[in-house]
Amino acid sequence: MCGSGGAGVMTAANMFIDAAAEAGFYALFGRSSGPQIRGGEAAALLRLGAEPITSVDDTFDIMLAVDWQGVQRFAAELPLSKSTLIICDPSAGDVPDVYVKSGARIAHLPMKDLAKAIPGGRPNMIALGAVAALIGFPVGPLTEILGKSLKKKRADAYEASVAAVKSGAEAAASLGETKKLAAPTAKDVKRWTIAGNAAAGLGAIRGGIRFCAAYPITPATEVLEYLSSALPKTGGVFVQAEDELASINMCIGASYGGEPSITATSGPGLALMIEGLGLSMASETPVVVVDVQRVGPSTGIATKCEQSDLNIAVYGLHGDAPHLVVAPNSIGDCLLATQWAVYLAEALQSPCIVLSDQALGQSRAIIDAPADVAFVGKRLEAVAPTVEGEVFKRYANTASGVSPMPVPGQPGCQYTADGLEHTETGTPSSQASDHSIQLDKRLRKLTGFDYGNHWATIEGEGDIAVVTWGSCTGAAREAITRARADGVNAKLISLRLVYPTRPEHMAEALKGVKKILVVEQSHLGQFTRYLRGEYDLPVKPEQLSRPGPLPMRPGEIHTRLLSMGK
Amino acid sequence: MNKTPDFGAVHTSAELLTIVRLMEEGAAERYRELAEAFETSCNLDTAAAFRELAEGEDRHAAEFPALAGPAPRVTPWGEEDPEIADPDAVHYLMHPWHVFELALRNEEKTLSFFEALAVQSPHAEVKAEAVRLAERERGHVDHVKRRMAELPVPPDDWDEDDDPPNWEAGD
Amino acid sequence: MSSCNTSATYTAKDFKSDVKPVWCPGCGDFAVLSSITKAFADLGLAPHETSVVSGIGCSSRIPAYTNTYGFHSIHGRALAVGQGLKLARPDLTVLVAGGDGDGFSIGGNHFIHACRRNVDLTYIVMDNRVYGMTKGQPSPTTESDWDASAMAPPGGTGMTPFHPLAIALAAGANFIARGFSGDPNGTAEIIAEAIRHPGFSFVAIMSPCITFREEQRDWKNTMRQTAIEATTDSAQAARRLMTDDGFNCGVLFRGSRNSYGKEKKAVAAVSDLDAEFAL
Repeated sequence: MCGSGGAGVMTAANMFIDAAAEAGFYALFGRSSGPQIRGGEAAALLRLGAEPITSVDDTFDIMLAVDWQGVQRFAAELPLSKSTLIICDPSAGDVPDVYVKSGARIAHLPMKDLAKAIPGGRPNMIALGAVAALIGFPVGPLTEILGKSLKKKRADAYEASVAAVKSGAEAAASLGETKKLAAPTAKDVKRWTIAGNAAAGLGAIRGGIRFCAAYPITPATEVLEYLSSALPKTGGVFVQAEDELASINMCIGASYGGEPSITATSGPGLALMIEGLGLSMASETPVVVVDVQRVGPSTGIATKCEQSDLNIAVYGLHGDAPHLVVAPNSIGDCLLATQWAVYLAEALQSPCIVLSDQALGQSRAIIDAPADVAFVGKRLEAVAPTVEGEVFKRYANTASGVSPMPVPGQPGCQYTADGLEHTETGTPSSQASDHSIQLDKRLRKLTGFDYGNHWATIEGEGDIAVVTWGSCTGAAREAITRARADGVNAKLISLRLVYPTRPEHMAEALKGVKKILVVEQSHLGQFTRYLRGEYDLPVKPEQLSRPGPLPMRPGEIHTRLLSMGK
Repeated sequence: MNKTPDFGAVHTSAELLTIVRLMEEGAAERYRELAEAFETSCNLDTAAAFRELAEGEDRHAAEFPALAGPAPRVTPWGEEDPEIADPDAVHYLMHPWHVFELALRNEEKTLSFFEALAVQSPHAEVKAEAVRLAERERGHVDHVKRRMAELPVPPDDWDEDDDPPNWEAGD
Repeated sequence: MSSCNTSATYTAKDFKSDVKPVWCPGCGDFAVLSSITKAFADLGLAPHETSVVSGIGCSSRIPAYTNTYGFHSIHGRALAVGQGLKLARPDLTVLVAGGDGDGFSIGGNHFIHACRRNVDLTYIVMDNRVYGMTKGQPSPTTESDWDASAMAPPGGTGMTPFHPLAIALAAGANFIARGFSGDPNGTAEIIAEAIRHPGFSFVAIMSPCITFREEQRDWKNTMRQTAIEATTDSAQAARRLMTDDGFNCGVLFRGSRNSYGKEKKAVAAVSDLDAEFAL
């Protein structure tokens, strides 16, 4: 559904999702908009189904345009086909060529005129009614949602909307045929409606986060909006900092004080936080940074998705600075991966970057409720020295590499955290032996830790392994399902733990695999290079990658799998 | 700084002795800090001279009754305690002779203060105590002068360094 | 002259660590360290409930020389670390310390916003108008015509020196004072008052660099105790600061703004948060 400012397509789409939730469906709702703060063109990209949805589809079945202002700008993001039905208002002028060329059927729905006939009626409600009727969506839940969102405010607005939806639904009969929605099967699963960014915020709090300092940035702002209201409720603190340098360092200060801390940002902000992450790493003060990746480099395309912050997240720190990098691979996993990140950061006293992306973060979905897992951050507690005059060793060279970490206020364990290389007590040192001991210790604690089977999502078996990460995972999963129907078996390996690497686990996962396809959204193929640099792969992988803002779609992966399976 | 002495601030002999003990302790502490600073900058002879002074001040402090209860915060001398060395009155290349020259200035300042207090205090008991303290201080001045005389006078170019400043751990 | 009694159980010495400073003999920072530890002791604080946070530079080495909890962080970011610590742990006494380059150049933005935010902590800048640790370059507070540096152009930078106290006032700092390392007792009293004063307290301490700015040894003849009482009126403080010659020591402004932040109080269990998303 698309239209320019004031058309209300986002409101209509949100109501549609709410109604779908009510009716027992699953859904994925992404959005695309122009750069204007107000009045710009916008597209609500909806996919509904009776089964869980983790990916965008190859094309849209219906494109509904309330008007055509600037909508051609989205053409590349709105793939249509001959089977697509374009519904538009005849008063909005001709359908732009770029859409006509797709060969899609075109049907006219006089949304403005129909709305005018109803006192207080709006074209977006006409559209909502028409689309619902076309796909066979039940009217009951739709009316219920209109009631929930409008009745309290204004009874007349509710009645007008109900009438408009009804009018649109009646008019739909003459628009032509389109795919019908299968009825949802009753399942004994709780469902949620949530966006990845809010999910990351909730996961953070579940993991124990009680402090957030942050600077607003697209497309991470919703993580911060969520935390700014949820943290104070749970006894935490949220601060809007003057910049990303302050954000990360405030988090480090709060974490030093014993409060698990998080900040969220996107590429440009992550670049500014890198020095702070080095301090967190060297001083062994845990901190979590959610990077909701957008198109780079520099300011890039702020509102669109790309998986191109992998290099900076893994290799961006100066010095030999191993640290944690975790990537959620679904909207629900934004919760689990962030919660796990907090647990890991606290247990390993390390910075942890959560590499989410715009497609996960800003898409709203109806999903099965994420599991309530037991990962809560906990640090190795310190005990004060009992011998008089003995100085507490904050950076004790332990077997695991993790040293006991006191909380300020604890008597007898005073120490100075330091980004300068230091001795076991934290005293600055430029000696080779101290450097070597601390480097080994900081690496050992990461590589020796038991990450369990959370390091990757592994599904299915086959001669081909599709190795992917982040928001490409959904498309890869759907492609694998389609390929299996065609007799080509492939295995999905989606990395959740990007750093440190798990060479033995990867070797096990790739055992018997004859071909590898890497799927990612990056111009340079950063993930492919990372895999080839960090892992001993049994075969040279094929690469299917593209920069943002266009998402990887299941169809193209499916096609590649079929050709690899020949 | 521009604080002026307040000769009426100390009312009793006991009070005066207590603050003098605190001053001697403070002087010892400062000399010890300077000794450590010179050890860190590898000027060990000068560090040893500061240690010698610190130990001397420890002995002087021990001659007074130990503090019972909270310390009075009276500073009759207006500015810093005269016997406590200015932490910035040193140079990393200074010689032991300079150390005693610095100590002499401090002891002489203290002596002048006691002499003035003996005349200007409005309290008879304090006046009498100040006379005794001045006499004692003259002994310290003589001792430091003797130590200076035993040490070689530094050459004119004592503060020259061919190397530029350098840092072991510049950060 | 002043007199007050304390019931401190810890002495200034208890606040010093066994680590020996790397500062040059004669550096003003030795005295500032003494003033800070004396202020802590005079306030009756305990080392384990006190923290010193710094950035990078000569003076920023100070946390290691105290026996409190400490954080020697990165260049310019001490105030961010310190504010985060205080907001997370309002029960701790937080003192942030550093130099003029750390605080006013690379950390200048944080300085302004820390004044505005008014978190209850004390910020001490040991100002020697030079970068010491990198061997003597001009800093934001360096006189515009000072050129005895390999990096300064002949005739100096020509840049107007930063006026930390006036900027602190304009940005909203709640307590503004100037101290001098050559007056450790007076400076200790100022620091103690700064710590007691609610909100963001800023204390600029003139602390000579006898290695790169040997002429600063003369500060002991030019610094003076200010003859005027601290004002609570920011307009009056502004007039004073803008006509100040940089040599007046003492408390110059005492504000009455409330400290930043609310009391931390959980009103919901973590599991309650699910309701917003569950169908």
